[in-house]
Amino acid sequence: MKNPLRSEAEAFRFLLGAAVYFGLIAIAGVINHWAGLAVFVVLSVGVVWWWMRARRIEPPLQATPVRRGAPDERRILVIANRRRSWSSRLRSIRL
Amino acid sequence: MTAVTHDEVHAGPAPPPTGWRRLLAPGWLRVPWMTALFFGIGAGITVLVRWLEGWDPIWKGSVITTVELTAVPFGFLAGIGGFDYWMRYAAGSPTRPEDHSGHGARSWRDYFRINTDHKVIGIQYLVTTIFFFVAAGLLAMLMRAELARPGMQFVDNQTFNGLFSVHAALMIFLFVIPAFAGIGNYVIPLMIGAPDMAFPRLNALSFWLLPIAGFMMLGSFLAPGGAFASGWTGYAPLASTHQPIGSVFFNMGVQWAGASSIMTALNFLVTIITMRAPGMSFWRMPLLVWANFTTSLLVVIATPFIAGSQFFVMFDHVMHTHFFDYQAGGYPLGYQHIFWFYSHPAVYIMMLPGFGIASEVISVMSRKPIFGYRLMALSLLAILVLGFSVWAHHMFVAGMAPWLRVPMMVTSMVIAVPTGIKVFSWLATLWDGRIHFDTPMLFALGFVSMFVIGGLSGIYLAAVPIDIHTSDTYFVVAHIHYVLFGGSLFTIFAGIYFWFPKMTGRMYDERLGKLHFWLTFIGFNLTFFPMHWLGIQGMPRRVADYVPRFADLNMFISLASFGLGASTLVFVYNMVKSWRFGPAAAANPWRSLTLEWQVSSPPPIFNFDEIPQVVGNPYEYGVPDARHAVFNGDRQVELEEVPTR
Amino acid sequence: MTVQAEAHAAHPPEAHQSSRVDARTLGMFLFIASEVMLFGSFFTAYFFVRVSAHTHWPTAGHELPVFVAGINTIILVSSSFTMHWALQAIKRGNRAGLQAGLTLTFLLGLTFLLTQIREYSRLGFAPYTDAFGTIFYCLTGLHGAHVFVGLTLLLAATIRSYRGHYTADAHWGVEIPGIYWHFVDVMWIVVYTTVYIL
Ligand code: HEM
Ligand SMILES: [Cu+2]
Repeated sequence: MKNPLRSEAEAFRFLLGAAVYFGLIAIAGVINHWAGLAVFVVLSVGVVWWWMRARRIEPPLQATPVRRGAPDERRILVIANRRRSWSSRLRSIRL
Repeated sequence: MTAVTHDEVHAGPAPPPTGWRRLLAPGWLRVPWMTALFFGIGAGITVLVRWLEGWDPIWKGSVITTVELTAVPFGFLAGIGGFDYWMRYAAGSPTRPEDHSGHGARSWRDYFRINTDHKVIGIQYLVTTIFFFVAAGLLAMLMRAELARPGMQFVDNQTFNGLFSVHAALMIFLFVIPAFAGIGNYVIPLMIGAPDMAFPRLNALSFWLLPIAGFMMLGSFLAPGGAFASGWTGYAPLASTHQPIGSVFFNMGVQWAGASSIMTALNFLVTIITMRAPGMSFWRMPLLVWANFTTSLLVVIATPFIAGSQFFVMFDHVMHTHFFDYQAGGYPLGYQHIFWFYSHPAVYIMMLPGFGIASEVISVMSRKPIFGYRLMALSLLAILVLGFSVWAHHMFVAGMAPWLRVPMMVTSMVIAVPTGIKVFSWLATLWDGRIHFDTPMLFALGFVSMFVIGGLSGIYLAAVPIDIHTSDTYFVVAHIHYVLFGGSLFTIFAGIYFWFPKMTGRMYDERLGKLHFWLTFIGFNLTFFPMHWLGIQGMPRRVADYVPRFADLNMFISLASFGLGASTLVFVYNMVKSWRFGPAAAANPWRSLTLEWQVSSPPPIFNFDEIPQVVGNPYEYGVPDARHAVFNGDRQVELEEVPTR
Repeated sequence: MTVQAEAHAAHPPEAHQSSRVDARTLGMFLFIASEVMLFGSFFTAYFFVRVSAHTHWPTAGHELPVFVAGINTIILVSSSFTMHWALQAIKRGNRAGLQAGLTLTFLLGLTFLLTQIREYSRLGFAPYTDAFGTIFYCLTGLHGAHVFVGLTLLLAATIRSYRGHYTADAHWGVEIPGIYWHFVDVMWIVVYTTVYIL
């Protein structure tokens, strides 16, 4: 699966696709209602099938933090308190 | 926009205007004449078109009102400076960075200007919503005064209808939804390690749409014929044919509030997707961020439907179109379908952010990792999807196609499953934890217990036979208040108390906070629980008068509700007093792991002087060596003994 | 709290980019998603009226100018081509191409809108005539309003292009209106096929 819409160029291609899609349905629908329905179903299934298979091949995002502090600065951010023993925890709940 | 944009030319800050030029600078001096100007433009165009088309009369009150409810707010926004930047940009002139790009607030005056700092905007949101909360609460007090005894006491029927309509509309569109947006605005960028929202100017604009919507709805009391009086649901064809012009105030008010909430939701989504700190994958986001992510998706997808429904009603009312006019080929039931296709998802818009707040508070205050983190996030997504498949449970007695009933009953009941997952997760988090009963925790626990009652009455209502009996009775009133008051409101209070030290840099008064909780909790149950009985015995909702056999219970409810109303005074007093005189708050008074607590209280102007690196889950309380994030990319973090309180 | 130099106080520092999608583009696509739902609510109303009519559609006495609207459709779709061309031009650093493309797009869009208004005055029924009139005018009118918004965005982009903005690697101010413009076109194709043809 891929997101088909990320830029103007892709939106433009989407427009061309939509024109073809609705054009075919409209032509078939004017000829015969049921033909229109059939074309609609076939095209929709086709689009979904294509979309499920489509993949983008892209390098992973780089993930380094931006530094704004002094280069040798070192800070501690997060501290979790110690896990307490089962019995002391039980006692604290019964308070 | 955050990134330096290469196709923009910035001019330096302009010198402060003097003399008459101050009338041209964005701000309150420019508001009056800009508003008048836009009023004139709106009226002029309307009259011109009607004259050219030869429509009679040229000056028609209902049409002018409708046009002005659009034009005047634009004038106000232009005056206060909502569009200056974009106007300069569009004309290709150099943009000025100080054009409502102000960050930080140096005095209280800065809160009354266009400000693009998400922290300032968050506080603007919260104060505004509490103002409308108090206003809507006073309307409720009036209603309860009228209902204390059978017969007509203070107001007539039409006024009473106006009271409950404006009450509900304000509470929903001007309190619950934007209050969550306010908390999210303040907390989300901090929680994900971002310097601000993705689109700060859009953020400022979406805030300023709110007071417009609110005063529009309140102002409808002044319109000829009185306020809109067809309920917050505004069912057509009632709302589109038999209502005074005040009903257009509701239609347009919803549009402004809806636009505000769509813009905020867009901003949340883009911020959450593109601005997370390195290492913060989706599965390391705090649950409040998850909750606002799903809520924003709901808002973006569903809110346009209520916009549509209100447009249709307004056109039927003012332009005499025939959306809901059966005689001319319209489809009256269509309104309810379109309205509830938004408004059922909207009840989750009013609840999911609260789930997020509760998850934060409960995990921190019981010093334990949240139970089933992934399931908590996934159940939000499940609610998002299922929420779109249940709307017709509001229409069991509306005369819709009977075959729709059972499927809607089943899907409605299925929604209780993801909701139940969340409730059990909170309980499992509490289990064996070291629970601190601070005010935010009291409200969070109050929320879990009250929301379960509301959820249970919801299941009752989802069962077709029971709903047919209780539809449009006080049972529904009890249900919506257990979910919205006991659910949304309690979590909003939990959130306000929880982040109060972070927002103001001061500690609130814990004793007053506890007092507020117990008064609210007891007053709430005394007021709303008896409504279940009233409903089952058949007292209809939305009436000013009732048969004498309901008199005793109603008197009891009214007295309790006055007590409940008075409890708000404790809250307001506590907030005002503590904001001015409270003791200075520590950076992390709750010893929480999430990022917003790792900066000073209140945070620096751009939140972090350095973007943190996220290295672990946000809820690892009590797990030795667990870390959520580190600064400077430093992974060798010392473990410090923290005194247990 | 770190002291920020006054000159920089207005600009938040750059955030970490956690997604490949550009924030503005994503914002525009999400906005479009919400617009699609707005059209969805109007289409819902349309189908309610159409299905509950139980008669031949369009209801008796209403003739729609399918041919003129078809020409109009071609005009609008070709304006998407010129839009795409404008953007391709600036991507290669060709300013004249950008200016020509944007101007053409704007003019084609304006032609569409004016033709639409002209058609309105010749239809012979009004929004208040009956439910068919209501739904026809509201659906096409909603689309017309979107064309208007698109034209406003295009106008800004055009003006800026003549005032020397945009370069080969900084042109999101053209890209975003372009995306919106394609959306307006797609929506018209949907409206045209459902309301006029089928
Ligand atoms: C287990 C979950 C829930 C179920 C099964 C449920 C079911 C229902 C049903 C069937 C009704 C229609 C009653 C009637 O008009 O006859 C109703 C009304 C309502 N519900 Fe819920 N509900 C649930 C949760 C919620 C939540 C979480 C909220 C909001 C936070 C909420 C807000 C409302 C409101 C505001 C109404 C009244 C609408 C009106 O004014 O007519 N519900 N609910
Ligand atoms: Cu519902």
